[in-house]
Amino acid sequence: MGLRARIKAKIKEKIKDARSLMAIVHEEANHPGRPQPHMAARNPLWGGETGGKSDDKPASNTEVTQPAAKKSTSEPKEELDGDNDFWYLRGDDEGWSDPNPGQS
Amino acid sequence: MSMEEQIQVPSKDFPVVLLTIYSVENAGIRYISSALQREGFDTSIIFLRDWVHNNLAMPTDHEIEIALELIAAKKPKLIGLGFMSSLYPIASEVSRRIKERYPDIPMVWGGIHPTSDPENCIKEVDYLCVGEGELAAVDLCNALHTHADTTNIPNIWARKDGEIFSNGPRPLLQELDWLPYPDIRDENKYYIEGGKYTIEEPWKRTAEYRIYFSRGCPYNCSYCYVSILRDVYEEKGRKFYRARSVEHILGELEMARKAFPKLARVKVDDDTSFAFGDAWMDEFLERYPKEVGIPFECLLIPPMLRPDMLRRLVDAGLVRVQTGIESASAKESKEIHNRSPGNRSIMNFAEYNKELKLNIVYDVIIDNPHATEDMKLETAEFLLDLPRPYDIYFYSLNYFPGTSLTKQSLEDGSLDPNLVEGKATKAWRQFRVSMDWPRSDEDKFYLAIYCLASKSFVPRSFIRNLIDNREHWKQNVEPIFYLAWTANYIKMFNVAYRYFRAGELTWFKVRQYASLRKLISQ
Repeated sequence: MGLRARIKAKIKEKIKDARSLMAIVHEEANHPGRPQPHMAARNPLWGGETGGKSDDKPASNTEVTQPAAKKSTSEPKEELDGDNDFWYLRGDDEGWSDPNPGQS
Repeated sequence: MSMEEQIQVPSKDFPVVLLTIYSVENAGIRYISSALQREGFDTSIIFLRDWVHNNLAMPTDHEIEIALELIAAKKPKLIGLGFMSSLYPIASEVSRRIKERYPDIPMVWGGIHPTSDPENCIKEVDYLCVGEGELAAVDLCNALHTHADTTNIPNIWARKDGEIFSNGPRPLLQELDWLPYPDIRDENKYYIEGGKYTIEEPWKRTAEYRIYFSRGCPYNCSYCYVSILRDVYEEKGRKFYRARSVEHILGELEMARKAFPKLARVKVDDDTSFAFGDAWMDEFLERYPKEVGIPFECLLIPPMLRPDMLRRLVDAGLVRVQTGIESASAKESKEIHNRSPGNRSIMNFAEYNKELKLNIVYDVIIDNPHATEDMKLETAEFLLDLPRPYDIYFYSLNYFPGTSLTKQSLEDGSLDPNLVEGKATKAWRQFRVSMDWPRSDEDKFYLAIYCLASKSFVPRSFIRNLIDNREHWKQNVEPIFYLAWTANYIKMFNVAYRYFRAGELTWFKVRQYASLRKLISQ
């Protein structure tokens, strides 16, 4: 490939990149506010990570030990304290101290 | 808790395939999977497409065919599908295709939509799981495995020989430490995207681990799914809002750290975080930085936004706080949203945050047809008074089946039943609020004001002037609306520029993300 063709290909690539960036910015501008966490987590403009190289092989052989938190040899135990005693609802904080009407 | 305890090798000849659509982040299905595995069942999870934007189209025939072939390969004795209300049309079609191909394999639906509308959902499948599903799924699988009666299992609705058996819920699980950690292994996950599948846990592609420290919520906001669950679990005397122990949480995070190669932050995904009492907080704040030490973000309620508590959370690694304003109008908050206004707490926090420099995101609800202009104006003025910088999570008000807002609005005739999610699909098409969604001039005006208010480079005096002349601008809204749109552009270009300079954004990442979006838009 000649020098001219290489430069041309490089320019084409850069234009394509710029268009991709424009498309992403355009999309973001049409959606005001921060994306929800699962979307932000994939979005490079919100600090997200879209993953490794696109041709990454599936990590099916990753050795992950999946600990069992507890064996379910018995039924879960019961706790009957009621749910109307939230400590932060008992203070005098700006109206939030009152339980919501539907709850009390 | 011993970390050496390993998951059991499947001891029961009863494979289960779980499927979820546009919900790679679905924690519920991973909890069900691990609960079944612990009981000796062999489970696989199929993730049919990922959700990165609002264009949630029906998966292609080819992608559905891949799912069907995976099901054939697994030879399941039960197929489970979990989904949200807005995805009902897609879930219904995918289920129809599965039943058409495998009419003899029983199918169960779970998730918030079957929980909120069981009467209609049970017409389409053999079983429904209503409410929290781990114990119910285990009971259903055990009953099917041993050919026992499946028509009297708490939480499980059954349809047998044309008859419907609707069973109430069992008492809410109080001891959350009983739950196994969510299933995040690679070898039993199948991720279908772009017409092909990979065997991987797709969640691990991101740098973020989402975790639940609790279940339930102490509040009962009218638009929220919590109001549905409170209806399902209306019994008194038990905790609806329940926390896991710090030990259990740190154990899960230890597992996540080993499993997620890029793990850089933790998202505490509770509806309300850290409202567990002082002893719990002391233990967490002492142990998290030492044993995990990964930056985290969470949603805090206004009473938690106290200087001393925030300082301690920041010291433990808190980097971003989400808090709900929804509406700054006391009337709208109390009468429509069934919330108490927390404006003063939020304002105090915002002032204190100048020192803490936390990244803060406020939740704001727009497109509320019940809100008067005065209510929207109060929100605009509050946003304008908040110290910058901050971000906003915009939510377009949706009517989910079974919420108290939906029930009330249907009852008083202010809501067309066709606008309830499940029939409507607005919740996904406006999951990220878009500027170009059709809305009234008044709503356009206030959306523009909210957008401008959060931009540090737009002078407040200018926005106040727009508000003062709102009657004029509401009738001539386009210039203001496009100005807000332009401000969004400026902000995002600025973000891109800063990230490029910091080396956090590369052309490779841009290409990759653009390609991902294109792929999923196909």
